[in-house]
Amino acid sequence: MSASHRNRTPALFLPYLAVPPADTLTLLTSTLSCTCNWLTARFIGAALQSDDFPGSVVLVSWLHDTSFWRGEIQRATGIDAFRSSSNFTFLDCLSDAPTPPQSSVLAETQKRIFQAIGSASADRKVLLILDTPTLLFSLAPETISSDLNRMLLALRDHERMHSTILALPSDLPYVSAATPNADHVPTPLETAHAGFTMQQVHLARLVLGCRELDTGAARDVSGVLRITKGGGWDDGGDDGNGEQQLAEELKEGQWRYLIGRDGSVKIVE
Amino acid sequence: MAFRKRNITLGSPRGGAPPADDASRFSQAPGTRSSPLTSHTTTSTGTASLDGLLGGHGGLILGSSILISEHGTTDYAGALLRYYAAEGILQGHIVHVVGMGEGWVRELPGVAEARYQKTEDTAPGEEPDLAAQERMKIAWRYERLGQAGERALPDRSLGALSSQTPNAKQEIPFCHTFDLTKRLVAPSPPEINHISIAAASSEPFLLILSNITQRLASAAKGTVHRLVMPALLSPALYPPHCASPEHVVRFLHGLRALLRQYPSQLTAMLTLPLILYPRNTALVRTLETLADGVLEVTPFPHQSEESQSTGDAKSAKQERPQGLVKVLKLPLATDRGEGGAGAGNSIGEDLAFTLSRRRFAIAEFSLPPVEGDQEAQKEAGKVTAKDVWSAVALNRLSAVHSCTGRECRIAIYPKNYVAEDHTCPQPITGRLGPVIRTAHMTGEWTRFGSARPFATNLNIRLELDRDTPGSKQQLLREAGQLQALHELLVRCPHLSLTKVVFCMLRQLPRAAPRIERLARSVLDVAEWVGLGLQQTVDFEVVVEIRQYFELFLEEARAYREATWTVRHAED
Repeated sequence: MSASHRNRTPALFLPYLAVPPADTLTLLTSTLSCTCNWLTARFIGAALQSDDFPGSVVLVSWLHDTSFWRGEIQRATGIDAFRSSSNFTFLDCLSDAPTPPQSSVLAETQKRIFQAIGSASADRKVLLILDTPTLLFSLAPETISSDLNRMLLALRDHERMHSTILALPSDLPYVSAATPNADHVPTPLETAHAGFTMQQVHLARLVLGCRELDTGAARDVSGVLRITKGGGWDDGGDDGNGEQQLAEELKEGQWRYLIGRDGSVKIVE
Repeated sequence: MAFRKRNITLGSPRGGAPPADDASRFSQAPGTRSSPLTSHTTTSTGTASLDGLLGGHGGLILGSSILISEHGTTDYAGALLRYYAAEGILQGHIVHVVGMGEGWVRELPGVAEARYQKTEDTAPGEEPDLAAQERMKIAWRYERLGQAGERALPDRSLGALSSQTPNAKQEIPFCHTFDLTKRLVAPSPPEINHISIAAASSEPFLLILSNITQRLASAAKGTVHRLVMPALLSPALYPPHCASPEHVVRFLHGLRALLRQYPSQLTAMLTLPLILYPRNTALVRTLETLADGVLEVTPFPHQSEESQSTGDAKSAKQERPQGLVKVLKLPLATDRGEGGAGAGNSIGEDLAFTLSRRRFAIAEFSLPPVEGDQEAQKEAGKVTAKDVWSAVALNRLSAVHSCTGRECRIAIYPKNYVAEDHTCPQPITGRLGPVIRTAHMTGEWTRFGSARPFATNLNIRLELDRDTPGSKQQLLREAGQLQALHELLVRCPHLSLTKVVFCMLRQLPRAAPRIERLARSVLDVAEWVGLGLQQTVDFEVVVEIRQYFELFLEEARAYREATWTVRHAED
């Protein structure tokens, strides 16, 4: 990891932003005014710079295009992922989204992602990053949460998959349908979102959530990062100190952070 | 060689490229200028104060969109849209108008006369504001210093621009001042693309999108386009099936792609009536996610009549806010995760707008003197705190009402003014139907200093009314109340709750553990659901021994509960 990267990310966050272990799911959540793109960019940077992870990265984004991610990854880690490294593949589902006349948007999307994984050079494991796949609930008509979950499981089951990172918006309207309320009948969109989000929380190893300050925005705080262990956290149990040390490093917690204009992140005490 | 002309590349990268093409690539399109912060190019929204709020870029970044959502049935957002369209016409941009006839374009506001532009703060026939003059003389350079030592942004006002670059098209300013009573006279025949909404079509949005795409593809390189979409999803314009996610979300997704495809040519401004599509639905949140900037406009519920009738109120005429403006998302800054931090990022600021004949101004809003304070009120003659609170209270009430579906009463107290002199202002109460019999909520506004200016919290207090530690039935009923409150927390993003106090008056202490357990279990549920929630909630169980309460009751009668809670907390 280069010195510039270290300077741009607090040392405290680095263990969380390292390449996740094999066969795990990491969930990043965001809100409308507190996006988690800075986390996504750092995960990508960590994977591309890591010596321990020889695999490649496939980024699928429904919300941002090439130039945004190029800039973001560069600002976060100082590397131009699109130019310098051959082990980075970007699938742009914003500019080139499958449209309904095609047999099934979901199946088409899945096919393209598989192609992207396949196009990454052979015998390499793949870190798959999905940015806001929940837009598929609207873009692919009549998709329900289990459809998307099934697609995700199929992707995660791919033989060359190392691990998956999922970035989702989790504003209140997206998750409120998870609690029963007799007075408000959730729309299909809300049901799908809430169902999918809850499923992923239970499957995820770590959940990194960005949200606003509870008291509103502030001049010197960009947001709050809350890191919790998800339902997929494996305690490891008996195999020695390594696991324990990892668990020690990855403590749950909540930090206020500030993102500067230059893209650097600081922890605000 | 020292006097080589700028803007001409030395070595053409490709030998055959015609020089004219290169020149157009380097010179800026009319009505655009580069951002002082980034390498992006910006264009004006037609409202100078709105330009100043968009993340310090001094305008709307080309290739981005703004969604303005408005509460109620007023059309203030429409005024912003008109300025945006009129500005585009004056700058020679190609304006795409969706769903509005030619009449809408004919009625766009014209440019205000020059003398008003110069002294836009003052009404005609008045002396220019003395305070403004004074400020210019003495403290002009200190204005650049932001608060807390933060580096202020370069001055991007009209004057600064035109004085710095005298040779660059000085007759056309970056942002015009418009007069709503005038009609726009375009310097040249405006290029306007009227896009009608094909109500009979099964995919009206698709037609709109393909229309714009075609126009963009066929237009000359370097032309700047503006997309104007008034009242998105309004049933007056759009057929009902448009409101389903697969239509409208797909449209905005496609529009976002189009904006990214033409990052130096296209901007868009859309308005959304929140009365039809409330913000706490997943659909609207998705639309907001797909827009680059989101503004929420909350007009005050009533224009107080006295201000319009009294002729003496000079100050009232000048600065009488008509509603609140909230910036929820900023182009670029939000995608980069900056939040409200950083100079020029206006997320979370308390802003109010004033729409007068000649301008739409958005300025920082500070709470005016409280209602009970007669003298200060007379002096100020401005909008009173009551207006603000009642506006906010009504919004909260309708939010609470729509979420719980239950009738409730909410009282909002200005905490600041419940001070040592033991006077309590009348709470602003709104009421919808019968009061909940067993529990009522008392809201309370607090304001924080330092790092979080103008943050407002609504503290909700739930009071359980019984004298004795309860039977099973009572406990069940209380559990129901807690559950209702919990649902409210989950469902109401409008309420920024920070603390819930379960206050059990007249409660014997030995019931406390039970209630505490109850509250904890609610807390657990909230925590469990609360992944990524916008708020965390502290629960606190306060148990009062009866005799304390009796003692206090006499004294507290004048106070009302909210005050008492505050005092108690301080003790």
